[in-house]
This record gives sequence, structure tokens and C-alpha cells, in this order.
Amino acid sequence: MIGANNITEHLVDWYSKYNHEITIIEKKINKCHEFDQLYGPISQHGDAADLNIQKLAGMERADILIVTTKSDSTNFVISSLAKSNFNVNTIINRINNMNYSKAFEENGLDILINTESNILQSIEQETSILAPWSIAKLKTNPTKEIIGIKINDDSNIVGKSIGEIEFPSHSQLLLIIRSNGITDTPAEHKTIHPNDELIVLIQEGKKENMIEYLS
Amino acid sequence: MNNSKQTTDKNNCIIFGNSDISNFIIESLLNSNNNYNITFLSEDPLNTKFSNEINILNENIYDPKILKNLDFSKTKLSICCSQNTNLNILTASYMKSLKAENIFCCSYDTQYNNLLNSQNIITFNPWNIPNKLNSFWGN
Repeated sequence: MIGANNITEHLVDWYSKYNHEITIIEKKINKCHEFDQLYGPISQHGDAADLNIQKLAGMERADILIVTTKSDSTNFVISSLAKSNFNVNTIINRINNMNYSKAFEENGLDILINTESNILQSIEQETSILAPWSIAKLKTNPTKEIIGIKINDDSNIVGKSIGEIEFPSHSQLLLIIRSNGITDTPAEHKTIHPNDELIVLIQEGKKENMIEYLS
Repeated sequence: MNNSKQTTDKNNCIIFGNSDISNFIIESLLNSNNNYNITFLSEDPLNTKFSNEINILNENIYDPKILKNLDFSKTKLSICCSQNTNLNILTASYMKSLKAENIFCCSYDTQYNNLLNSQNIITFNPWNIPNKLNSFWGN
């Protein structure tokens, strides 16, 4: 992980529970000491954009690199160095300006986390009816996406049983979350009610078809 | 908004960032008699001897919006040569994603020299300008 900050602190807490070996590369020596006191000797002092520092940190043994500095260009250089020199399998980047996303992706750095997008997604999820929100793309098949949809009172499918509903092609209902929060596995006889949330597997880019069908 | 003054023929050059090396390159291109149409992206307000000969865009170079309005399909040469190596590297890759060709990236650190090879971006050190770049203004 790059940078001793709030994000990496949470991640260290999380990964430590599963006995993973963690190293944090941090420029500020006092931050290194702070993390070492909390978690044991896990810090490598230095600039992560320096190949020698990456070597000293043991980058060649890293399965995952998590880069979360506030500078897109710093994140890009650190990740590109690690990818080209140590062939790190999974690299997760914080990206602050999504305009740069293509540059990251075309350099093989395709796991991008953007705070603004995540906030917008949470707001959409909390406030929208019939506006699907993205939950995840399938790692093994990136053309498939899992989305959530909240059903409103006027939806075509309210009152229908799942057996009666013909979801758009290439989509599959995975789970129903009832308005009281109880989860319900889909079965033909079960009925859709207003304010149910449906968790659906769809073909990427077919959200609009789904909205049209459910409206 | 398209605030560039790129011409329709493919003789445009884009120089990203103000530095000694960018000034040297601009001067070399202007002296080459190749009639390059040069767009210079810089954060600093400039009043150089080239001011009347080139198109200067004064904007925040840390925001890629500055590049989005440029037409790289009409650009012969793109050079990232701000004083910030990391920014040059990211911007050069971003230019590549905008379909630019002949991209050169200035790095003040030799460890990055081969970093962008897979993208056909040539990284160079200001004290060692590659022949391929020199050829744009050489005889």
C-alpha cells in the first residue's frame, strides 16, 4: 500500500485479520513510525515512485498493490513502475480526475476507484426510484454487471409473480430485498411489491432496457 | 469550447508545460522553417520572444480538460515537458488515449526511460534529446 493515511489504516486493520503480509511505503518518517508503533514493522520509508524503494519494500512478492495518494500522476507512475518491473498482478488505484481513466486503463491499470463516483452512486441508491445503481462487474466476465433497482408503485411488475415476469434477455434476478430489509431468494411463486429492491445480473449497457421494462 | 488555433493540415505541434527544455524545443521548431503551428500549454502567463509566433493556452495544466479540446488527429508532434516528471508521464499517456502520434515525454529521472515503451511513447531526459525528436527540426 502506498501512503500512511486514513484509507490505508483501515485497510491494514482489515487485512491484518486475515494474516496477510502488508507493507506501507510512506515518504514521511514520522508517519512510518506512527504506523510501525500501531501495527509492528510494516513501513518502508521513501518515495514509492522510486524503483529502489519499491524493491526494498518487496514489491516483487506483492499480490496486490493499493495506491491511494491524492495525486493522479503520482499514482500513475507508481503503478506503472510496479507493473512493468515487478509484474504485480492486481493494482488498485485511487483516481481523482476521471478524465484520466482512459490513460490508466490503456496502461493496464483498470481497477480505478473514484471517490466522487462512489458518493454519486450512494446518493443515487438512497434517493432514486427506478434508477438502477451499479453494484459490481463480474471479474471473470466484465461484460456482466450486477445492479440494484428499487421498484416503485407504478411499475409494470408490481403484483406479478416472478414466474409471470419476463426479464429482458441476458438478465437474471438474483435476490429480492423487501422494503422491511428482509432478503428473499427468487422463486416462481413469489410476488413483487412496491419498494422491493431487486438485485439483477445484466449484460453491461442494458440498464436502460431494464428501466423501460420495469416502468 | 475549442480555444486552440490548430490548422487543418497536419503540421500542428503541441508543447505541454513551461520549462527550459520546452523553450528550447519551441525555439528549435520555429527556427526549422517547417512552418509548424505550435500550441503551447502553460500554467504561467508568458511573455516570451515567441509570444507572437505561437498559440499560448494559459490554463491549469494539472486538469486534463486543457487537452480535451485539442484535435490530436491533426497533430504531428506532442511533447510533454513541464517541470513535473510524473505529470509529464501521465499526460503523455492521456495524449495517447486521445489518439496522438509522435508523443515525447520529458523525464528528469532516468529510471522512467522505458516506462512508456509499450505505448510507443518516447521518454527522454532533457540533457539527452533523442534523434527522433531532433529530426523534427534538424536538417
